[in-house]
Amino acid sequence: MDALNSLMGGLSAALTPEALLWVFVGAALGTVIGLLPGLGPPGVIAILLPLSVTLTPTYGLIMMAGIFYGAKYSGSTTAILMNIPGDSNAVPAAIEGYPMAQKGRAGPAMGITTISSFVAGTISVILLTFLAPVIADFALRFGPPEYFTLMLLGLAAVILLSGKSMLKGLLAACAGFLLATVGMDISTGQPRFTYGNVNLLDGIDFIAVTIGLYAVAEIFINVEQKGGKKIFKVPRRLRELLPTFDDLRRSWAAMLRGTGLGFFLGILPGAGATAAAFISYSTENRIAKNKDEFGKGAINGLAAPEAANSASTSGSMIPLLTMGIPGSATTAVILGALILYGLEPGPLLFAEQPELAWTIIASLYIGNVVLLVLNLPLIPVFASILRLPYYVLYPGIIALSLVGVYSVNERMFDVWTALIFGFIGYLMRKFGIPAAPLVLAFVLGPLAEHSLRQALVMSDGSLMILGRSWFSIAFLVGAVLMVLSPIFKKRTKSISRFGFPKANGKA
Amino acid sequence: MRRIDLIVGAFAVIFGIVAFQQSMNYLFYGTTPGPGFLPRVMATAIAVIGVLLLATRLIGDPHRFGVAPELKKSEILRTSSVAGVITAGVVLIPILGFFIGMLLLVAGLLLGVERMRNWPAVITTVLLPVILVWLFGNVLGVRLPTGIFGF
Repeated sequence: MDALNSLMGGLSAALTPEALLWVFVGAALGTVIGLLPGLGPPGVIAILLPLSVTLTPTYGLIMMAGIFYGAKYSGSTTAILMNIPGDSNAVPAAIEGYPMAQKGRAGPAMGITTISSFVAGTISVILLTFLAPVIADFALRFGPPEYFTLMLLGLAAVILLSGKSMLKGLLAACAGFLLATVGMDISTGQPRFTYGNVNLLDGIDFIAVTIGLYAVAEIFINVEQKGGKKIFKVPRRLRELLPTFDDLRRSWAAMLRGTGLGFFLGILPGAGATAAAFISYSTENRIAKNKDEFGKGAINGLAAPEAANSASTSGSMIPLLTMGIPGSATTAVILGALILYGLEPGPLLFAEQPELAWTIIASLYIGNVVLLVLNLPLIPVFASILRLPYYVLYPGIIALSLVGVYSVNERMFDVWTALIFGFIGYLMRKFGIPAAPLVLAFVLGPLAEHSLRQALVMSDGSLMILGRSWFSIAFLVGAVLMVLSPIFKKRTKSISRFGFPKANGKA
Repeated sequence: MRRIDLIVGAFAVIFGIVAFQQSMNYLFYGTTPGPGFLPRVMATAIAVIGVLLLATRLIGDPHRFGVAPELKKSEILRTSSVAGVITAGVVLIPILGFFIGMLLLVAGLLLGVERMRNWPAVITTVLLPVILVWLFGNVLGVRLPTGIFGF
């Protein structure tokens, strides 16, 4: 009840006309700037920070919430429309959203991402409001062994993302793992596979890899025919631009699952929105009835990771606000902003400055609603980009991709990386090697390696530490079952082919 | 598709062996896994998967792996020309500066490869780099490459 009263206080501070104006401005700026590839939420918040710190702490924080949600959401827009994942957590949106756009369903795809973001954002902020202290305590029990087994569970999803050939999927995943080891080793500081190139010391840039594999490779495929292949079916009527009732019916359960998973993974420092989006996508792939549609525009495959992405936002606020631990790059930038306002996130924040602390939470609610109000009407505007002929569109896409990649670290090296991965992605498509396992392993690989090595330091090299808690045992069992599931499935198929009865009694 | 898979398999074996050899420079295991642990495990896995790919494609019915996508000479030529223009643009950007480099890149694609010889194409060629310079350089404060002309 205390939480509810405090929230009401926060809402009253955040619901003044001036506060609403700033949250709206923040969400609009976050959405527009977030559309530019390479600028994920941390980049957008950092860019707009000087603007928000000119305001009073209350309005500044409210505006930042708008920026945060706007930037989080808009990464998926370019992924759906142009196959450019604006941010690493928008890769699943490119995998499922872009094929939907090609089928003339860009509007429903963007609509479902907006609705998923809203639903997940709202539920997760409610969870944040009432369960923050309890959940923070739970998250503290997660050590390196739990992290490693969780990452294993995420990596086991490679099996599901492999498409027709599991061997090729595994090959891509191992290549992703190997690429992730390039750069300075976190534990020892030793450079790996850098060959004296200082640009490689920080590793290969993730944005450059994803933009190369998805956006640039897609262009190479599409320009094979003069005038471009017929890439998009362009929606004409307004009704075609919004999700149908059937779309919502098929997505709501995925949204809820994505919300739960995203919120849980968001709480864990280091796991982040990208891991949440990927694990949620692969989980959905695992349990969905329409598995055949995955990779070809499955709306539930789009709803789940988008919900996870949004829910992880609120989840990541828990360690930040209750313990002062920024679990991701975005929350690290937010922490910097809070310190600029003279706030010190941590256990004392809610005791010493409850008005501002609850204003932050209230602004998350409002930011979420504003995002929905702002973005649903904008869908036809965004979708109208697809009316441009492809031979006009692709020079724009390539220019935007290259400058977007450059803007992350301001170095041409990343542009070359994107281009090289564009060629690699093109060849992978021609050779039938899926890109998603490579990207998944590239994201989760470093986290898995680091947590395994930490766990083994803790146990003096004994692998038994991986079974020290029920969490890690459950994750391990889940990973093993996921890896073995295709074998079971094949066995079941061959048994039924030989005339043994199926579960429903028919031969 | 079988022949393509054989190429992929052979490449994976060679790549795996080279990566394994390169990872020998790093400690594999001390008291805990060293910096060479994951690279060596992954290099081995890549080589093993390559062998498995070769073995599965060499044994059994060659038709069960489907048909490889057909690639026409004209398609290869078009993709190569687009890739060539983009690569040339990326080479030129640090030399001539972002604006001129990007202008040439877009012009190369629209006017060269696509042979669009009309006003909208010319306007797009000029406007696109202008918008990108304004947005990234002026609004977002990104330090775009300046070439020999100083802009």
